[in-house]
This record gives sequence, C-alpha cells and structure tokens, in this order.
Amino acid sequence: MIRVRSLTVEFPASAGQMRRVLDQVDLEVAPGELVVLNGVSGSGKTTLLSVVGGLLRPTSGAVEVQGRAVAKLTDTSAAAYRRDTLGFLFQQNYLFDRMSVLDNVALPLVAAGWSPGRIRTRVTETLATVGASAVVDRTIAELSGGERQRCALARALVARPRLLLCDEPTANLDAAGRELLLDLLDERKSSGVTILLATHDPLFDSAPHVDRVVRLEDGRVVTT
Amino acid sequence: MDPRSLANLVAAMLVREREKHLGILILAVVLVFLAASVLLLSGALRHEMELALDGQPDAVVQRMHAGRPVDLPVAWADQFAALPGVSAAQGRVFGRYFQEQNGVYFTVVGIDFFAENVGKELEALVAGLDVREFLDGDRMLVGSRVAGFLERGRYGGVYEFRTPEGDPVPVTVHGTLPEETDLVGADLVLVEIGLARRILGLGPDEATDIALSIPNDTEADAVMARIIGTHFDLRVLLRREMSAGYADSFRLRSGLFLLLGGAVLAAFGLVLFQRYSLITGTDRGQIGVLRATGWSVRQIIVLKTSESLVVGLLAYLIGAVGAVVYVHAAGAPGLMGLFLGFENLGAGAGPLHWIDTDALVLLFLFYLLPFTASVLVPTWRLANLDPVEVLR
Repeated sequence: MIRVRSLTVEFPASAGQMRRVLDQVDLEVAPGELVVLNGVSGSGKTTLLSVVGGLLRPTSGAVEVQGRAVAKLTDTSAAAYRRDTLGFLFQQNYLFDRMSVLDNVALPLVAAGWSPGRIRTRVTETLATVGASAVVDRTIAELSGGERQRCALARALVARPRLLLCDEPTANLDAAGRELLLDLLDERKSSGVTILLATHDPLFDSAPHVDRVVRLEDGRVVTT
Repeated sequence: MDPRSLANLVAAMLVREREKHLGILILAVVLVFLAASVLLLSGALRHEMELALDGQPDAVVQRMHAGRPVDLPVAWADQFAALPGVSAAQGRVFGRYFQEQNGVYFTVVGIDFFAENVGKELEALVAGLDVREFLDGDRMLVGSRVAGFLERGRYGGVYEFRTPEGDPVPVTVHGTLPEETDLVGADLVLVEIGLARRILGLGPDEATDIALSIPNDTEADAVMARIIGTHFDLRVLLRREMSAGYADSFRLRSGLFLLLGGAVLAAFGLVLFQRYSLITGTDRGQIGVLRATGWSVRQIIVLKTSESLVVGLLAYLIGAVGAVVYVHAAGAPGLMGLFLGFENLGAGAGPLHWIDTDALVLLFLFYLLPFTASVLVPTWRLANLDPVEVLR
C-alpha cells in the first residue's frame, strides 16, 4: 500500500541553513495494516504523514501509495488522491469554526462533484458512525473539543478512503472518545483500510489491533 | 463540481462569515454608488446639453459696444436674410430681469408667434400652446423654478413686472413649462415679443440679437465675413462656437467630477489592496484546509472567485440601483449644484430621464472584473504552495 524509499525532507532554518527533519527514511505498510508512528515531538512523525498524504513535497526520496509516486502527481491528480484515496485526521483538526458541521464534513464530497442531496445523506451516515449525528447543523464553534475531533474524523472518513492518516488523533479526546476512536479504527481496519497513525499516546503501544509500532528519532527510523 | 453544491458552500461561507464580508460590501456599495452617480449625472447632463444645442440657431448676430452686447435694429434681420447662404433671419428679444426684493433673476424671452422661429428650442417649449388664448391679455409661461418662486411669494397667478422707467406691467401666469425642460428652462419667463420689449425696455424696432438659419454649414464662415463687413460693431457666433462654449462649460464642470472620480478610483485601489492583503491573512488557513481535503487549485480559484463575485455583484447592484434612484428620481441633490450654478434661480433641474446605460456597463466592467479578480492572484499563489506550508 505504502512504500517509502530514502525519504529526506529539509526545511529552511536560520541564516540560510537547512534543517533535516526526515533523513533517509524507509518504510513499507501493507494493505489493511495499522501502523503506529511513535517518537518525541520533532522526531518527524507529522512530516512523514504529510509527505505520504501529498501535503508536502520531499527534498529527495520517493513515496508510493498504491503504486503511484505521490510527489510526482499533477495538481489535479494530487487533489484526486487526497480526496478519494486517503483521509487525513489533523492534530489541530483544521475545521472552519463559523461554518456548520455539515459544510465542514462535506468538503471532500463537494470537490468530488457530489450533489447536495447525496452529500447530506453521506455526511449524516458518517457522522452517525463517529457518534456525532446530533450536531450536523451546528457550527464548529459551538462544539466541545471532543465533538470537534469527531467531526474532523468524519471529514477524513466521509469519502470512504482506502488509507487513513491520523496525526495525534486522541489529543483532544476524553476516555470515552478514545475508546470510540479505537473501535472506529478497528472497524476501518477490518474493512481493509490501511491506517498510518502518529501519536505519543501509550494507549496505542498495547492496543490489540495495532500491527506494528515504528519509532522515529531525529528523523530516522530506529525500530520497526 | 456540482454547481448546486458549490453554490451552497459559497452561500454558507458568505453567511457564516458575514462580518468578514460586510465591511467590504458596504465600502464597495459606497464606491459604486459614488462612481455610478457621477457617471450617470454627467452622462445625463451631457445628453441634455446636446439636446439643448440641437435647438440653437445656426448662427447668432450680436451688436457689441465697448465689448458688451447691446440691442440692434430688428430691420437688420431682413438685410441678413438676403445674404447668400442665409435662409432665414429673425430678431430675438430676451434678457435677464432682476427681481430686487428677492435678489433673483428671471430670463425673459419674447416669442414672435407670427414668424417662423429660427431654432427649434423655442418652438419645442411652446408646442401645443393655445396661441389665441395666450395672446388674450398679457400672459406668460414660466419655468418650474419661477413657478415655485411665484408660489412661495403668494403672487396669486399674476406677477407685476416693472419697466426700466418704473411702470408696472402685470402679467398673468398662463402655465408652467414641463419639468423635462428644466435644464434649459427652469428660470424662463416666456411672453409675447412685444410684451418682452416693454418689460426689458427695448424699442419696438429693436432686438437683443438676430438668429440666422444657414442650411449649408460650409457657408457659415463666408456668411460671418459678409455680416461683419456690413457693420463694424457686429459679432457673429456660429453654432460650432456655441457648441464649443457648451463643451468648455461642461469640461470645466467635468473637472470637478474628474476629481471626485479620482478620489473614488483611489478608494477602489485601496479596496483592492485590502482584499489582496486580506486573502493572505484570514483566508490562508481556509485554502490550506481545502487543499488538504482534496480540492484542486482550479476548484479553489473557482470557489474564492465565486465568493468574490457574489459580494462584488451584490455591491454593484445595490450601488448602481441606488445611483439611478438618486440621480434620475431624486434629481441628484448636492451633486447637481456642481453643474447648474449658472441658473439665475439657483442650481437645480427636473428629473433626468435619459439613463446612460453605457456608463453603467463601463462601470460594471471596470469595477466588477478587477474586484472579482483581486482574489485570483493571491488565491492562485497560496493554492500552489504545499498545503502544509499554507496551514503552517
């Protein structure tokens, strides 16, 4: 499903210097696997997810998802890849606070050309699966942190992607929310969805449905 | 994208973030209103002046003494009519009448109902008039401003003029000129030509000037030379010179409008700059999220342009309709005064019925396209960055 080869990412630092965030990373994730990326802050977990998700171009190396070289996709193909193949659950959620839950969750479907009727049906279904169907017409600003996280998860799942990328998914959730998330991830995994998840949360170290934990340190894979 | 889904999203973005759009909408409405008012008013007045010029004679002969026009023998009209190139000549009687108590001027114009009037303007003003009734006693047709003045002064339908010798001349108001003629006729008092001579103090054989009809425009210069040759103190004003006079007057006043237009343009530039800056700030995160959730650069540009188009179009409609109402229904109070300062009874004109649609189309293109496009470049620039970079 995912094949990462010699991946290096550098960011401009002060005084014209470059800071290497990922250094020659190699990683393979099979279809249907749930892989946890572990490591301290700054180890490169979020950057790795961003490159796999086509949100960031690498400095060198290659990333293939379902046989497609992600970094070489054209704008339209990259958009279609982000829309149809993967769902991305961001640490900060990145929801539009003033807009309704429906409008937020519907964003990938609008881009995919769905009609308003189909969009509402699919969004309602997806919100039900994450336990947030009651808030469909409320604005994000009116929601609690946990409810927002569920909406963000619904947006990541609404197009029923084959790959789910999660960045610190439990950061804003209470105990019940975390249990629900684990159940959801388990359910997705069971239906064949590949999941790559970056987290500090020790909950995932011992979770039964986690296939592998990959540890990153200073931009390098140290244990798989 | 499904256009209905796109429309729903644009509407949601506009309504949910209305505070963000309201400021720019109000500013754009004010700018469109000002620009449209200036363009509509100047266009309508230019049109009115062109119509007024159409009614002028081909040439006018004045007698000048010490650089000022004086009366001349009306018999010279026959002499000029006999000149090659001149088809008709007519002595005209008109002049300003100062109403001392109120410090206002009327323009008294004499009409010779038994001669063919040279120039269509007078004929147009008295078209449909029952001449027999009008000539039954001393009667007058008055412009709307004169009518208003007489009404306010409670003159009861009869105004008593005074001859230069101080003799009273009571004249009954026969009717009021239609408001469409206000631009040229608001301060007019139209009376029978003999009565005009009495009020203005002209002798029975005198005229204020002589209007000429010169059917072939190429002969106008030759006619002018011949007339100046007959009497040393004559001045001939050709139609094209009157036209230039109108144009000069209009250009002078257009200068004021140009200043106003310049101010509006500068403000519009600031609006565009503000929009350009705004999108690099608050909209930055929005574009990043759209990119991250599978929107292509083209789709984001369509979305942001649609949003901008709706705001711009709404502002244009409100501003332009407001300007049409302000100029064409309300008579542009305030702005009109800049144009009509030459009127004896003060600035003002009746409703201007001719709407300069070309100006509205021009404004539409020069306002709406840049307004809508102002979000294109920053959106395109941001949408082409890596989504992570935009979100960061």
